[in-house]
Amino acid sequence: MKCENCKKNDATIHFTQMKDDKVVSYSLCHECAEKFGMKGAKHDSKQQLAFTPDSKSEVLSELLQSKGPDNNDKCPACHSTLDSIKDNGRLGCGQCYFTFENQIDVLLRRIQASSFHVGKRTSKLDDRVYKDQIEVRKLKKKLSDAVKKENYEEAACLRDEIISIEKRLEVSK
Amino acid sequence: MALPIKDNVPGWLEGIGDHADVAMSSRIRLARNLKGYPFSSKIRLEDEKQIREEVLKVLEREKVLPSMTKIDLKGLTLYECNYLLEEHLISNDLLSRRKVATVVVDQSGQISMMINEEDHLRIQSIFSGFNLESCWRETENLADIIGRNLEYEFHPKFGYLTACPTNTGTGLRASVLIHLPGLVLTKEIQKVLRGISQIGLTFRGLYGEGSEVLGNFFQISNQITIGKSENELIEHLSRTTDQLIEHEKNARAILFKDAGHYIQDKVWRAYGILEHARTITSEEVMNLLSAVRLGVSMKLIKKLSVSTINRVLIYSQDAHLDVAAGKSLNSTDRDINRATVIRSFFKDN
Repeated sequence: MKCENCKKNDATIHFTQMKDDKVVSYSLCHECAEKFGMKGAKHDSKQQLAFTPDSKSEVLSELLQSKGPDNNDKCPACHSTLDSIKDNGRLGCGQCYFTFENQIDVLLRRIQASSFHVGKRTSKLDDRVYKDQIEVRKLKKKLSDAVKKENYEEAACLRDEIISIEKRLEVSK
Repeated sequence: MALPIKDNVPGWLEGIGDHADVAMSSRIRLARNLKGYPFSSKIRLEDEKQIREEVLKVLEREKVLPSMTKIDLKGLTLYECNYLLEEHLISNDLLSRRKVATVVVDQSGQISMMINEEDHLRIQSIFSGFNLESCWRETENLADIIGRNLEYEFHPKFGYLTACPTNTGTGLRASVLIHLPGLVLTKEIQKVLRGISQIGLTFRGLYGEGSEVLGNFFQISNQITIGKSENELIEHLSRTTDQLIEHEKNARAILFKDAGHYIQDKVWRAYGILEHARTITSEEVMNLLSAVRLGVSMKLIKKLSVSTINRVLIYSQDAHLDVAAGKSLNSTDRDINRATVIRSFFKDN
């Protein structure tokens, strides 16, 4: 059968989805499936499908909607931007969660009903260490901003602060 | 290269455990990333190799590794990889990252861990029937063992950090694979699935993310991973599954009362074809097995057990047939072999 979207190619990807109160089936060709954000579609198997209602492209394009002051920001650790995150469909590293904290907070509250984790915690960390770690990451971001703006005096102060907190973290290990 | 676990029958096929006729298996998966490395979309080959090395070292040190089999996807053929997919040990994502992808599996096939998938670690436990408690116990245990030795990416507010925000927080995905031919035949399935999507749960087909619904098998899992504790999430899924099983059993009772002859005919025709066909496709097997499974569950068919049906389901899959033949088959030969394998299962009973 032909692809329901382009009507040219053969449909090799079939999937079902809940739409309103019906179970709806779609059949697409490999190209159209990729276009709708189905990365890694296994198109040579009749049984495997690619689309899910919470498709990652859709989910992460939400991130781009919020126009915050850090819209053009780059993560200092992995150099991801909101654009690259949307393209990849994934965040680049742990630091991204700090760099884009506001957008992620909004996103989580929208797609997950809450942005606050209440389950298991890593056993090594206690409150003090948590707070230190957040502080260090925040300061590192400020440091990279300061360096970018050629604010070297501020950068030097920040660097000293970071060193002293990191010393404290070392001791508490 | 020979698959090290080829001769092991996964424990979750056994067909034991609560309501194993309706709820075929339960699964819990935990996603974790190690601190100090980028996530999968930005990670380099050397990092992935190092992660694998570090994690395996921990498993050795903690004396976990001797009882587990380590499988590097790099050395396997495509059909051997698909075999692992069919055994629910790996995902499509891991397959697409074969170079440094590894899976560690225990003897029973009930506990496994993927290394270097979408997240650095994907720990999973599958048990036969409706048994989320055992799944959580095993998964949490392995996660804690590794967490004692290596540091996970963790944010005080967002919890365990994952590559995709749909997993952040607990990193937990709990699911139950459930057979609902009753609800499908009584046409109540739409209403039920709609209800499920409104309470923070999702449904998918037999083989996980993005698969079609085949053979009336649905995989119900939690959609939310943050804002609730692991136990709350599991409890919620558990209670819903209980209700689903109840609904399904009621639907079957109604069907049997109002259309008993129709059901019996459907069940026995399916049995007949599976017992005698000389060539058969996997779609047809899935559909016929659904009827036969219903028949076994309703005690119409006494000659087969749930455990046999489960085995037929897995061993009639494409890659399992290829592995049995020792090579990648063309679809004609596969369909013939499939019919042969199924006939032998039916004859042995």
